[in-house]
Amino acid sequence: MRQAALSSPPLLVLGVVLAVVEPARAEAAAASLPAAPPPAAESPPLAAPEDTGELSGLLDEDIVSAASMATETASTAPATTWTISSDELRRHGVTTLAEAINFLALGMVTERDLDFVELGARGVLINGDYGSHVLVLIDGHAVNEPWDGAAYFDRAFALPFELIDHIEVVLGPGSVLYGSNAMLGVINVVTKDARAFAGGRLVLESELPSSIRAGVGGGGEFGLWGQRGQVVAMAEYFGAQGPAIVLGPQDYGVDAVTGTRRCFDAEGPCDGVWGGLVDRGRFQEIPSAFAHLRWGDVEARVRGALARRGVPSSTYGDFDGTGNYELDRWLAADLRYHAAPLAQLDVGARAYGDLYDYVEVLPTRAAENCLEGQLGGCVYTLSGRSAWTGLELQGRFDWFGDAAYTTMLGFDGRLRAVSSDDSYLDAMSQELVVTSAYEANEAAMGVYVEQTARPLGWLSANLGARLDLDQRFGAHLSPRAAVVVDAWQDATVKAIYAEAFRAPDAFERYYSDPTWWLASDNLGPEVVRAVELVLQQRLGAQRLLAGLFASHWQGLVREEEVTADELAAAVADGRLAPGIEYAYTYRNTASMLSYGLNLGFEGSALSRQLRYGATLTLARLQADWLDVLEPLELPVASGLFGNAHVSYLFGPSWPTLGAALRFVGPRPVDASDFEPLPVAPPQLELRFTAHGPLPLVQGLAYRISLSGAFSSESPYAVGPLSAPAEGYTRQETMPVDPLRVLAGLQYSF
Amino acid sequence: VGLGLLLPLRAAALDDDVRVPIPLQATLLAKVARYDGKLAPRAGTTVRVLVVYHSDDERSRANAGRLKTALDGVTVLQGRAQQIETSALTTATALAEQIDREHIAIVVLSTGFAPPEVRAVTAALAGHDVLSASLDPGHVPGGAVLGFDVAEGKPTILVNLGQARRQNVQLAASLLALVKVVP
Repeated sequence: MRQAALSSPPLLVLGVVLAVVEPARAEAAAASLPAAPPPAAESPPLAAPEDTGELSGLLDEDIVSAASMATETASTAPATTWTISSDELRRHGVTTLAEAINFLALGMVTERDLDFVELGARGVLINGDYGSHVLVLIDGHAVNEPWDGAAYFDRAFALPFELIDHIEVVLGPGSVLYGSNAMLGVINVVTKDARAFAGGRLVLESELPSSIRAGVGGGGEFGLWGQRGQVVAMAEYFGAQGPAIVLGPQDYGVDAVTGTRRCFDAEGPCDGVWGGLVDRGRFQEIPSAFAHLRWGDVEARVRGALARRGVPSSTYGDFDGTGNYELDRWLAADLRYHAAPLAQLDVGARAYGDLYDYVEVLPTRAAENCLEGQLGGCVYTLSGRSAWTGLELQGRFDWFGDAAYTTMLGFDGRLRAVSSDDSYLDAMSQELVVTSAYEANEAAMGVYVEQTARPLGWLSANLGARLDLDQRFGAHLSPRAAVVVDAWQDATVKAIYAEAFRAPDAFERYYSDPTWWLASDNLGPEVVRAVELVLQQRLGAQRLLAGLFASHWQGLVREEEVTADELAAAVADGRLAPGIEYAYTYRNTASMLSYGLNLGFEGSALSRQLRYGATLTLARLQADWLDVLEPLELPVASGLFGNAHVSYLFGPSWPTLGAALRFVGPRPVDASDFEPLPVAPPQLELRFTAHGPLPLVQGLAYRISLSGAFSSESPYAVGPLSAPAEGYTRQETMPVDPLRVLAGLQYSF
Repeated sequence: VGLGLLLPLRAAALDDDVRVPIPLQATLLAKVARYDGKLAPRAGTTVRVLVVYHSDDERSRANAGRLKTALDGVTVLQGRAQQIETSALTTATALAEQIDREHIAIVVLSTGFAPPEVRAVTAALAGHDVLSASLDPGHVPGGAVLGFDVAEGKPTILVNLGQARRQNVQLAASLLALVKVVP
């Protein structure tokens, strides 16, 4: 066929020239042509084009659904979106959501505090938020739970990675359709269907020599009672011990209660010195399972997971203690039905229910970390539980049957139950003292509407708003307006205004302790408002994105000391214990402005065997912008980060080689009282990956990955000393694992 | 309660069958058709595209209309006029006769056709000179020459090479390097 296509060089040249000068939107002029004549015998045959660059570019166009709950191309979506495919995850040895974001995503970045990961976007990272400022979805089902709003990006994301088809990253406020938590953006993890996950899978993988991951899964299609169906399921276990690290030593001194040298170790002498080898208390145990069943127009998904992780460096628990841990458990179910009762009407219903609980256990021999009288130490336990169920109904009407004007209406009603308590168990007497407990049953609902309009072929608009009514905080309206213009050939320009909010989590709203903390009865939602201008250009097989953004954050929740009047009133009505001299509470007090630019580039060459991409985010933060614009340094947040990746597929029987890097600029260290505030140096991480089929055994494939970090310092302070002391002149920070080796096998049958 | 209310609704062909947005399918169809070495001589001076929908399925008709609208906005072959029409499928044989009579260069199946209906169309088109495609990628294994699916969040091109040969469709090797060949 190639010879036939080249047999007429002049016509080939003509074809190429015509392809180059082809206008983007040629009008079909033949609508009123008379009845068809036979083909003219003299019509010149055009040679098939050999250059597939333009077609390759179209095949690299991302198809997304998170931005407007409808399938659309990323270039026309009413938000800045970036998609990470499972092929990219494979090519670059990605094993966690955090790695996917760091090495392959645009506009988002994560930071790792030993084995716990935080996420930021566009220069904003709220230290200690447990991921509550980004909405994480698995196939549209929210992961963030209503007790603490938590979502994890490390291994505790707890979804077998082989199931991931692609990850949609939607940057910027996204509450217009999803409600709470979508302030930094929305991450929608889309799982594979049976066509992409047909047959069986066995997976065995290790981050040598400290972890092991084993999984089994499979998928297939079936027919039952005249309906097509499919099922996909996978279960895995991840376990890790180490790698060992050395922390400290930090000479803390005496216990404030006993007046003797403080105990830090679960065993051994109490010498007042924190630190040593961490080789026992750094562990993870994370079993997880996910299943997706579809039969006809009904879909069901179930996810169950457990994540138990050591907390070896907490200064509230024994150093490297094996009894220090955090435990999260999830059980989620999602049932959907989708129908098209009319040609122009789609309707859908989704019923969902989730159970979640969390517990943190910190045994300590230090009396100063325990309650009065617990001189032999104690076991501190914080637990939180949440259960929620809801129903979402949605209808989309295509007014003229041509998708030019569509209206979507949705309703999402939810019932929640949350409860929490913290307690101290006396290590000697075994007496349990509960210091704080709360529980609440709440109702919440959201009503949303979205109108799309394409009045002209080159112009489309998307207007929407969601009204949330929530017993926890009242009412909040989240609008969005986006205009997309086909500016010139293969280029779109978007202008977007969007808002989002985060409902106060149950801990912020209800936590109280009569000895020092007042419940925050009037806490409202945090709100972000953002404007964006985005240009996306396709040049053959290359795609460029450039975006400017500015977002204003208001009502950020911060802890503050209560006023003297509030203190007196709380003591008088019994909310605080008599004699309390100071107490704290949460308030919506902080505000900030973030602005900057995102740049992204992706492309392919050599018949798509060579693939590459790069992103860059530059952002600047300013505080109290309504008064005086002052530079703001959020702990752990950086205004400069990005990544680059390249991979080459040698052939189906040969290895695919991938190289990726991520970089992040200087970041202020958290929880430090050093002056000036310590700054973690820029970080550069490199990763090289090879994967491919193993010879001799059909279906057996390998993956090997080597990662290195150039800086050993993270932006997380570690240890009991946060200020200069004798022999301690520089803030110690959590070290970064310098080298990681991943090796794995997958057998498909 | 909501599920119970909706379950009795008749489920027509869902948009789920249209995995690639229709405007992008139109663009891809126009681009891919140029790699058919027989398209230009088949089309003559006017590229005639017929979008066929299921007569008993309103959603099928609506999707055919959406594809026509989208195809009206793209150029299939530069320098040639083009005519996009929609019509309901009566019988597979009648469709084949219409293709010959009206010199249809490309025929596209809309959504809503059951596998036996697709197989019947496939059998009828064998030996006729036409590029066939479908909005539903599930029709390609059944005999549509061309279809578009989504894999890993990106569009993919599905080609039924056996049926292509039977319909005198000659796809360039450079294209075949980019497609997924469906047996």
